[in-house]
Amino acid sequence: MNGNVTPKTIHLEINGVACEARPGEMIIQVADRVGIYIPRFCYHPHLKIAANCRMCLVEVAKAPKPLPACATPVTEGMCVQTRSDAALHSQHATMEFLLINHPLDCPVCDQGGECELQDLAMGYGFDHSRYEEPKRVIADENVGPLISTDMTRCIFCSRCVRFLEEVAGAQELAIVGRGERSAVRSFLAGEITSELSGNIIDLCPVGALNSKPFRFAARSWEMLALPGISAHDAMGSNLYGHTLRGRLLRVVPRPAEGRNETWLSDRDRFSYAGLYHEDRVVSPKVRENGVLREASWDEALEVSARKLEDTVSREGPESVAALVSPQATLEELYLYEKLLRGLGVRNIDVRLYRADFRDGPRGSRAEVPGVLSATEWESRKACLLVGTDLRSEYPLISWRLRRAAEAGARLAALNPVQFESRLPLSFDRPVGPWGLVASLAALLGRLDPSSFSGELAWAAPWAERSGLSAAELGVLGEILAAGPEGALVLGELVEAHPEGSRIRALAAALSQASGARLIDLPVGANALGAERVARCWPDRGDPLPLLLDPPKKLYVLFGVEPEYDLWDGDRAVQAMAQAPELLVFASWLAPSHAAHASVILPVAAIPETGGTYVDLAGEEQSFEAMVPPWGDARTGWKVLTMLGQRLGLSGFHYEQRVEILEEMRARGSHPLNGAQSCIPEREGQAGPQDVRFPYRMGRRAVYGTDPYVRRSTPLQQTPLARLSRTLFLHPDDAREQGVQPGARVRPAGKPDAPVLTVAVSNRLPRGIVWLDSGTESAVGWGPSWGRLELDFPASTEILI
Amino acid sequence: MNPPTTLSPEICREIDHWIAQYPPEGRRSATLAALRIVQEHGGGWIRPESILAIAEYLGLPPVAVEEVARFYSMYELKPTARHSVSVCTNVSCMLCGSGTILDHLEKRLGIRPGQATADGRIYLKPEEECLAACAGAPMMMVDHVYHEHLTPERVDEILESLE
Repeated sequence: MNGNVTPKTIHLEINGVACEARPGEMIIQVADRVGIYIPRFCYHPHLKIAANCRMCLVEVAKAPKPLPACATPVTEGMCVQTRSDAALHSQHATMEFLLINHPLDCPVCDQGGECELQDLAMGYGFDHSRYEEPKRVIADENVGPLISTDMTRCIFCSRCVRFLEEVAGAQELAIVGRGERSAVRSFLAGEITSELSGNIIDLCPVGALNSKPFRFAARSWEMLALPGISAHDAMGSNLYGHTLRGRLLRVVPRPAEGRNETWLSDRDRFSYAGLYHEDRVVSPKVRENGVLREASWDEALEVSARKLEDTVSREGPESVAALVSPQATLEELYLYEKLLRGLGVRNIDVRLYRADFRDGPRGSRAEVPGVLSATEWESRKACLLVGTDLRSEYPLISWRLRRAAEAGARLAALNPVQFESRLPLSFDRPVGPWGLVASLAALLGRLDPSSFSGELAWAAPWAERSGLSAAELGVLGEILAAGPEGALVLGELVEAHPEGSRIRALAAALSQASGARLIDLPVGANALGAERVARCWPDRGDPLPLLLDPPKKLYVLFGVEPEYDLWDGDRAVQAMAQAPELLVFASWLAPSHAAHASVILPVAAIPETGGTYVDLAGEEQSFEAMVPPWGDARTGWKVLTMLGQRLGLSGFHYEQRVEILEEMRARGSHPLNGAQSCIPEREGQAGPQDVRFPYRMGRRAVYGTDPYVRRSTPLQQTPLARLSRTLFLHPDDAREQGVQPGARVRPAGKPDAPVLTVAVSNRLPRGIVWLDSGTESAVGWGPSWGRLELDFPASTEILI
Repeated sequence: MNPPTTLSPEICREIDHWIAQYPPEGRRSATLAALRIVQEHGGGWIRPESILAIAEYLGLPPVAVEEVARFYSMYELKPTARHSVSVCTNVSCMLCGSGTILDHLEKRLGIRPGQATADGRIYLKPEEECLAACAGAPMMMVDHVYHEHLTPERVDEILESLE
């Protein structure tokens, strides 16, 4: 031994090939790098080492017995043989044992054809079995609507167990029992609640865990694998769609280091099940004598053009308001705006879930939004999360931060309620709705007391009433002390906050004072793309609330379901009911479309569309359609082009999609007019108010973020989706109201609103009624945040 | 978090005693003791909600506690009986006739291993492994008391002494 000196490079030989390795690397990592394959089941480059399948046994010179390549660190001068007689003998022997209890049901197993066990059995197995005794059988569990289990096929590699514990942040599966009676099980055979659970399907090297929605739908070798991009958050996760005869049958991750690595959130993986939902609009429709009827494209485009022209010429372009989904592609967003601008219409908004517009067109966001690439999240030294349930909003950022925390990063959350974050947080006390503003004000006061002069003078009374102890302020202050290596992250609850502009102003000041990176998480897969399009026409129209009150004469919706997607869906639907005309571009039919639309133009859903998304790092990713549009639907940009031509507008002759982006870039990016400096001006709120029961709050339901995911039946049956449809009260409030968990409740004076089931949770502060938006359960419950009147129509009725 | 409602203050006190034996980050180490305490207080078996309560109390994932409870044969996860009888059937006892002893017990009590008598008096543990009393084989354990050099007659005597 040469004392404490660790050599930087280790030299070893694998199958006679000279290799270099870093100290601490395992044989299998080096072999993978130089392209020497060693068979394995339990080893996975992104999971901790378990060394329990023994398939990777290799021969190491001078070692008395075969060693597992996944758990044997390299040493200087090591000589490894992976294909010697001794190594092959060990690998064959391991294979024989693994196959002893494995059923021979490959012909009816979904894993067949893409099965690591099948593949390795071809290479290392015998063609007959010496085992004649009875095989072991394990009863299957129902672990939820996403994953089917055939646990008799399990070979106990424990990848699924390790994934949920290490990557998803909560151990939900375990190897229970012992010896021959061992079985991988969830707690008391219950459902898996992770938002990343689908990844264990990919990780399972055998057919024990398979996709339940895909079960028996096709054989793997029949399908085409086509690349795509996730449509539900701005992570821009890469994925493959598996298609058969023009139908999308399954979605799996497409490895992208520095982005989603090899993982995919359940939302991205299982949303495809909504593609062929009965709500799909398969043909154009026009309203005649009050009834929607099918129409030809020609007729529907003609009627649309006439209604737009008539309204603009009779009532003026200000009488038209247009909303667009932040899930639309860059090309669609651009053409939509170009078409409306061609008619003189300026009232176009994409900020469907924003509550507070006092700080101008795009909030206080810097010219270039503070964005981090996926890997930059992981290198944060500290992170203060403000107003976000990250697991639900950005499942994969939540995972990146978990890894950052493992590497020593300090994390804290300032949230109105306490979420089950599965992150190690140094501060996690729920501060209530106004506490978000007050806490940030107090932090700013601590960091730089002089900042309460001038524009932020309003913040001083908030700071005084933050309710944070000196110790708590210290903990939060330490996070910001990381400076530029830290991040201050604003989530969807800031977007939904009635005082959001104050939060944005304080966060900007805090970022400036501390140097921490300010990240305003995009709400919607292409929200940053929408921002780019807005900068092509810097003269913005009125913000969304002014578009609804008073109602306009004509509304245009592109991919928007007002009752679900908007912060105050009820008010939006009312406005649209009062408007004489409603023109809808949609892939799915929402109840409000069916009730009020004058024309419905069926556009292709995202997997049927080619287009471009801008991810949260500001990077563009283009994708092609995986399957043709369903029914008589047409690609969005083509529909907009046809309508533009029909309206006689110039510049609507595109041959290819790429011309649209070229034109957009040529238009340039301009600062938006009308951006306010950071002074909110609302009178009458000089500081935090007391929260009086019942004050409703909520986030966008994890599986209610957009029309596509809303139609995915398997996702809607998950435990997470069930929580989104439950109304939560603080236990003390429930007691005061005389309400038991399980009681039924609805908003007072709205007999048509859905009746919900009450649950209690002391993760809420007193006075709060928590109900997520974005689902049919929240329709009729008013704005996402605000005072409620509650009615317990049958409070004696207890659901069991 | 709600305080777990199914753990009595007395049980919590006893568990606290065991938590104190380990460093603060090692609360998990008290799992074995917590399961034993809950079983003793719970009429000889551990209810599912108790596993959840222990998990909450120790700050562990519920399935991590269930994993331990199902690994060790000392923990019962189904109702048993007033007395628990385990017959060792491992090598030494088997060679010395534990088969006869188990047959005799099954016949006399009219139950199979893993079952309890209808009167709730005796529970016969399934397939007990070596209890480290090979010198006294064949042997059985009744409520943590070892009985060695067994014969069917001796087994009858022992059974009769149980209320």
